[in-house]
Formats: sequence, structure tokens, C-alpha cells
Amino acid sequence: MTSGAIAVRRAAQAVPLLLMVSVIGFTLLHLVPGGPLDVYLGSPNVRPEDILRLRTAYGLDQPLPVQYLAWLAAFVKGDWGYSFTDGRPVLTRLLERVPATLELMVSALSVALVVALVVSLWRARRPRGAGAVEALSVAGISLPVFWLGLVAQLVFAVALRWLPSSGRMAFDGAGLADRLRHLVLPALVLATVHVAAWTRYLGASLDGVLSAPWLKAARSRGVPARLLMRRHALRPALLPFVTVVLLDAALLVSGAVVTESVFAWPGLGGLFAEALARRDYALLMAFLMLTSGAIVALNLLADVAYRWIDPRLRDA
Amino acid sequence: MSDSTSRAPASPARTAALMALGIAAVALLLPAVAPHAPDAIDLVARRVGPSMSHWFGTDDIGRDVLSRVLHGARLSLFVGLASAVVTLLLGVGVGVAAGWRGGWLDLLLMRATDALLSMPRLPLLMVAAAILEPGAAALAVLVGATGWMETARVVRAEVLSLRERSFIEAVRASGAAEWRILARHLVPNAAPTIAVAATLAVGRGILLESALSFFGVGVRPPAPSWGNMLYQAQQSMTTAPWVALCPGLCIFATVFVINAMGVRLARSGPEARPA
Repeated sequence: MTSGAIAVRRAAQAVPLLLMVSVIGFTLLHLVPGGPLDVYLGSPNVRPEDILRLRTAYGLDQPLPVQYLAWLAAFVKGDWGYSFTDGRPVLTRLLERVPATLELMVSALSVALVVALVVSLWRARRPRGAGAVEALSVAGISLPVFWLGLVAQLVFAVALRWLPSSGRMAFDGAGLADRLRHLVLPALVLATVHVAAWTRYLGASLDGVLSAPWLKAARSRGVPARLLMRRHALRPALLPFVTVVLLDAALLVSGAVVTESVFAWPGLGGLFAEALARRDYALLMAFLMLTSGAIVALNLLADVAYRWIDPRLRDA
Repeated sequence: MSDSTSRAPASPARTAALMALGIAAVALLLPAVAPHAPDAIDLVARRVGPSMSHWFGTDDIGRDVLSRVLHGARLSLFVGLASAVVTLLLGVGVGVAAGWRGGWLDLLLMRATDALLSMPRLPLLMVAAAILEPGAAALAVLVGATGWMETARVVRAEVLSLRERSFIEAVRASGAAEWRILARHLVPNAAPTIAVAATLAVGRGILLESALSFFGVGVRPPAPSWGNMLYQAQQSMTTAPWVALCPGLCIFATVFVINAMGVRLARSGPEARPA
């Protein structure tokens, strides 16, 4: 089967998943006692007959499956509803946050990739450092991310005053230097967990390759150590790692929720936390769909990339 | 951590069980040594830094941080342990059913597992917790019910290989009932794998509880948990940083110890042992 056909088949398999997420999300959001109009019930400014009128207008008097189908039909057409909090279309609100999130994600991923690569290559050559690297990486996956963010703010922004504590820029149209200074802390915090996980993974992968018989053969042929590591050991070790990185990038989409809200980063995650605090249901639903869509897309990419990189799988 | 070969591999399942008991005992005993009541308000001593009477300082409304941390351990550790139990029940159940029966059931269960693995877990949990407003037990169920998929996968893989081994064949030939084969022979032999998965699940459960509570949708105040202490500490980060440092350090230290145990258990597991 060609990779194109595989991609199409995997994409088709993603449809039931997205439907499932939408059903779960929709049911959850309609479990709220009193429904979405609950907020108006206690308000002295809203008359009971207005609530009834709104209920009919929004179709909230219909049975749940009917409401779901109506939502689904609109969603597929690109009508994702309106945000309760400011009345603007949900899709607009989400899309304007995408650049900030991408900026943060790409920076965090790049930092994590470079550090994980450097550390695991260093460790592979010095077995004595293995214990320390192992301990550090277990520490890294045990850190509560939001707390790490708070401590980073406290140390680098409040105590040392080296970096700004939150936000994406000091004012609209601020220069590159200012933007970079704002990016450092959230990107490093977001990268930490992945550095830890990837160092562990890549380390194990390299160890496996380094003890392979064909690597001993290369060494006995007199291939220089540097070349041996870079060409003969790293390349095969990177194969499964590419998949891991892409799958983790998918987690990053939803993991950014924590980092973004701690650092008041104006991205999707921050918007989600805001929507959660204000019970902005249309926005929450759209965010769930968007993140599952992103995860599905990255999984698909991982699958295709793996076949593309490994020539043995290309025609399999 | 590097010289795993020199140590005699203790039974991972027993180690994990002992550890769980240890955690539960610590969580139950800690409140007894707390110097103050966790909700005792001292309005004169608000946001006081660490001192002899308040080792870890006091919070916004003058509650002793150390006492709240010690009491908070109970809820945080309970959610961690209970969510791991839910993860185990579901993960082992699905893994054994899929691996043992095979065929269409295997296909169906593994498809479902794959699908659930690609759901955005944290946002979904946050929405669910915000709307359902669960208590500690329900929170543990929510966390466990969204995290059993990796366990199901490793257990299935283990069952697939155990199924073909001759001792299982021998038991089957001797005419043992199917449930007996599963309960007495199959699951006990998969115990090392299950123990590793369980250990890591406890750590993840504690981290998730703290993240949910940090967003104000997990364990609700006034009952202290490590996560909701951090939620409350956020407002006074610059004036009273000790309020945030303490519970966070507790989360980190606890999860670190548990994860380190999990890593070591995995090392002493059957695949690491020379055959």
C-alpha cells in the first residue's frame, strides 16, 4: 500500500474518534444543572418569559440528540457558535490565538529536541554520567509543571528581575528582543518535561543500537568514534524517536493549557482556562474539538513520517 | 540506579504493594503531627514568613502552611492511589480480555484503546471536573477512567506472550476452569508488568489532581490538598512565596520517589532479567 493510501485510511479512522470526543464533550456540557441559561436564572434583570424565549430560540427545549445533530450540522459547516463572554464567533476567537500558541510550542519543541539530543549523545559516550542523567530525567517527569512555572517566575522575574514574568510582549508592536525575553520562561518550562522524557527514550534507544553486532563490526573496521556515533549509532536510534516526538507534540497542544495560563501567554491554552473559569460552553466545546483534531493530525503525520523515513517500510 | 544487575530482583508486585501501604499509612498519620489545626485562622499572623511557631509560614488568612500541607497529603495521596486502582481495574480487565480472548474482541478493545489514547486528556478532565464538581473519590474515578489505556496495552502484550507458554498449556490440559487459569496463573505471572504500570499511575494521578485543583476544579476548598493550596497561593506569590513553595515541593518529592520506584521496578522486571 502506498503511503498516500495509508494516510487516507488513517484519516478515515479519525472520523469516529472526533465524533466520540464531540459526543462526550456535548453530553458533559449539557449535564450542567439548568443548562447553559442557568446563569440568568438568578439575575433580577432577566424575566422568566425571556428565559423561556431564549430557550426556544437556542433550541434548548429540544431533546439532547436533536440538539447534538443540530450542533454537528452547524459545526461541519464551520459555524462553531458564539462566545458567551464577548459575543464574537468562537472560530474567530480561537484562530486569533493560534499564532501565539504555535510560537510557544515550536520554541519549546526545538529547545527540548536540542537539549535531549546533546544530553543523550554525551551520556552514551560517558557511562559514568548515566546515573545522574537518569535521576535528573526522573525528576523532570515528576515536576508539577504549573509549580515549576510559579517558581521560575519567582526566581527569574521577581527576585532576579532578569525576565518579564508574564505576557507575550510589553506593548503592541514591541521589538524582537522584547518578544524573545517574554518567550524564554514559558518555553523553557514547557520544554522541561519533554527534555526529561525524550532523554530517557533516546538514551535507551542509543544503548540498544550501541550494543548491536553491526556497530561492533563498524568499530572493528576502524570507523572513528565521532563518525561511529553520528552516522552509525544516532541515525537508527532516531528512527523511533521521530514518532515519539510527533506524538508528544500532540500532547503539547493540550499541555500548553497549564503553561499558558501560568504565564498569561495569550494563546489557545490561556483562552481555554479563561473559558473554563467563565463557563463559556461554546468556546470549551470548540477547544476540545480543535485539540482532538490536532492530536489526530499529528498522529497521522507520525505514521506517515515513520514510513517515509524508514526505507524498509516504504513499500511494505 | 545504573547497576541494576548487581541487585537481586525483589518481587516487584510485593514492593509496589508495600509502597502503596506505606503511602496510605503516612497519609493517615501525618495529620497527627501537625502543630496547628489546618483551618485555624490567625488574623494577627497573616502572611508571616517561616518562623519557630510556623515552620513554613502562614497563608493569606493566617493558616499554618505546614499543618495544611500535612493534612493536604491525605487528599492528594488518596486521589493518587485510588485513581491508580481504577486504572488497574480497567487496564488489567481490558488487557487480559483482549489478550486472552483475541479475535474480534481484541480488535474492538484495542481500537477503542487507541481512540481513547488520542483524546485530549487534561482539557477533557478539566471540563468534566468543572461541570460535575466531583468529590475526592469521584475525582479519582475520573482520573483513573481516563488513564487506563497504556496499562491495557502493556498487560495485553504480556498476556499474549504468557498465553503461548507451556505452563499455561499444562494448566489448560489439566482441565482447569478458565477463570481459574486467569486468576491463579495468568494474572499473577503478569504481576511485575502490572506493578510497574500501577506505580507510574500513582505518580501521574497525584500530578493530575494537583493540576486540576490548581485550576480550581479539583479538590474544593476549604479542605486542603497540595494542588488547591497552590491555587490559593497564586494571589500572594510575590508577598508570600513560601505559601506556594511548600506544597509544590511536597508534590515533586512524592512523585519523584514514586516514579524512581517505578523505574527501578521496571529494571528488575522479567524483560530486564537474563532468561
